Amino acid sequence: MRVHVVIRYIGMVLQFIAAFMLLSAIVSMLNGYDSAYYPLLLSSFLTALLGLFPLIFADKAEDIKIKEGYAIVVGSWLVACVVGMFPYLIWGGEFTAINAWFESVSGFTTTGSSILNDIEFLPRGMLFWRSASAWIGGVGVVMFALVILPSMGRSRHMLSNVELSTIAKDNFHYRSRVIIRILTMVYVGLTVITTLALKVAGMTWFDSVTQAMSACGTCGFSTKNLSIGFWDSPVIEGILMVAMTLSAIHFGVLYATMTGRRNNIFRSEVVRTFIGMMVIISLVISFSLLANGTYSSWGESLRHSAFQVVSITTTSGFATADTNTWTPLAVILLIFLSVVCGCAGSTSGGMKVDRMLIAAKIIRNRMRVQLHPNAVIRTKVDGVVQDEGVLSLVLTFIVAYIMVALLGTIVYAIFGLDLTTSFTAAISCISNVGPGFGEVGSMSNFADLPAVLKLNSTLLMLVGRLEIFGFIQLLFIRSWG
Amino acid sequence: MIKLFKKIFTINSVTRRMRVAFMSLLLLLFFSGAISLLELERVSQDTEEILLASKENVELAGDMLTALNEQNDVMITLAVASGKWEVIKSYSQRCEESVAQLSHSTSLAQRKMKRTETPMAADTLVMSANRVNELAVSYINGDVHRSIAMALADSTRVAPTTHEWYVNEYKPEYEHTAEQITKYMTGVHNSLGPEVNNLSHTARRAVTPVFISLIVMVVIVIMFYFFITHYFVRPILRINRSLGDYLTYKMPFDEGIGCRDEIATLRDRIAQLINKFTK
Repeated sequence: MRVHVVIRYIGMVLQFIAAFMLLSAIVSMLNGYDSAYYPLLLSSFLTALLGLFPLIFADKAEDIKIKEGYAIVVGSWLVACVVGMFPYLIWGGEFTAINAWFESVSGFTTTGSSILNDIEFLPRGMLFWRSASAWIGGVGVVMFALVILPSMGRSRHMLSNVELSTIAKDNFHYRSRVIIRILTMVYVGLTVITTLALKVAGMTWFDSVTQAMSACGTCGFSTKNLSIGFWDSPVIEGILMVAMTLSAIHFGVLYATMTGRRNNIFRSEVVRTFIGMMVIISLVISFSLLANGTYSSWGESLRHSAFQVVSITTTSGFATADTNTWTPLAVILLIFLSVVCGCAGSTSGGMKVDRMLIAAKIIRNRMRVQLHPNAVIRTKVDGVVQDEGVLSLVLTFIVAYIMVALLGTIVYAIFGLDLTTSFTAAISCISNVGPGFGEVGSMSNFADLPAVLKLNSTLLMLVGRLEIFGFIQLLFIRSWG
Repeated sequence: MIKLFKKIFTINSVTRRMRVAFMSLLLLLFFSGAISLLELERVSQDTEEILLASKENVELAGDMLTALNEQNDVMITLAVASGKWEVIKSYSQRCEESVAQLSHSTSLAQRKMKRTETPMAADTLVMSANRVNELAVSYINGDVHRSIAMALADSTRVAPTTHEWYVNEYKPEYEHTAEQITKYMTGVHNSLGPEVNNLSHTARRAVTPVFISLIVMVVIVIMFYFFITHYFVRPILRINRSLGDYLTYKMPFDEGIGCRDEIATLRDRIAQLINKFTK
């Protein structure tokens, strides 16, 4: 593996992050040089210098090998999380070293969990940086670096393969150069449209931009302590629900829909399953809440249940209600959604609807084979036959996901957390959802957890964001050659 | 335009690479130093403010105590040791000065305390000081002597001595005022608590950027070492080894050693030289 090539491309990602820090410093400046100005400017300078240094020596590589691609992606994410801590650390306040690391990892992995007890106390520049980190993380640090670097030639393809999950890669029927264009158009376009819609719905420009960035990155970082519940507006909730849902759909499918191609969201089996699942579970939860008397009217019950279902499924984690007070049925269903999450090829995390669909089809086919032992049954998704390698990978991933989640739960439990908190915190972190249940519910946060558990949470977030195997590869870096 | 931009920022020689790298390191070093200086200046300024405030308060409390003790000395001399009217006149100026001094100091202290979280304590201090001043002034004015004389004239009343007046009237007030001044000193010290907390916050803010800058510098130095080794040291060692092999064993010189800039030129020139001798 050519270490100098890896360092060079990580340096490019750092420059991109430095640009966003500078943008946040400008926001701070426009807000009357608030207390975040100096930390953001300083962090921007240090990050830029760190990113520029490798460029003095390392030349661009025309051909990046798959192992180098992995190292660049994982390395970029880790380094981004480290430099993302700088503004928080320098600013101080509630940000100790562990807290700053937690907030940075939570942003870049688009988890959206927080250790802040009073979000509104943060200056605007810092709030903007939080949302910006979520936005950058949303589509992947590396993909953005590739967009702004026009001279990477063939090396683009390898990085794209690593960044997008395996299934998403299989579903993409475009060339890698087109993938980047699609990502840019869909992601930036969606953010701009959501910002404008939120502004029209009554938010300020600042809140519109930050909530839109957070929603499109499916992160769930809000600028208010009460999250979206602060605005108490069905229109705003509706806009965010649409934005979150679209962000959790395969970007290639969205692009195909926009450009009038055949493989659009209306024909996609995965998207149909994803939306169908959300609609059915929203209705079940709203009935459950109404029957339990949690909400007095059907409309109110449906409004809150639909928002929470969309927020959890898309791994955003915005909140309008305290789900800890909901019925056991609602809680179980929301935990199920925290595991399944959105579609592959989107900014959401978790196990992905695609994998669940394939797993369900494998089970169905297994039953058929039991009935007709000589039958040759193939597993298809969206009319495409999935080969044995993909099926095996899907099942391996599901097993690995369950094992990591259980391991995470055990670590939380060792430190005395109850079963609900331990399990949902592990699921929430590995799926990059944000809120769990119990002590880490939608209206509380991770602030009171001991430092070791905060580190455990960040590890789970990184493992989940890099689709488990992307992270595990890093452990065998010495044998890469 | 883009070509010109590219030309300016293209680094394609060892000298330029080293120069830019050292410039970057120097810049970061200077930057770290500047941050340290700036932040330490801020900490120093905050510390100075706290120390100054503390010093002013201690001095004020000292002034009050000096004035009170001066007044007490006069009162002891007059009421306990002498008690004669003639002696009073000689001490009156000293007593008036101490009264004025105590009055001035307490009003200053009151103004300071009004700005803190203990305005009620300021009022108590002023009232107490006023009371002790009034007693001292009344003694100097002869009111106490007149009252004793009237009591002596009245056979129905027991006339107190000036010593008794001091013990029963003045001394409790003196002690109460002294106690209030002590309270003022501790109260003011406690009121500096938020400022001290701020100082701790500022100190942390001062250390963090410097610490981060140093970490960045360490990372850059490690990268510098890596790149120097990778791009310059290793190729030179390989060229040297290959040339040695050629000279010792007549093995063909390795023309495919991966290098660039002037080192690549060196490799090519050695290869040319060898080819020339071979022919």
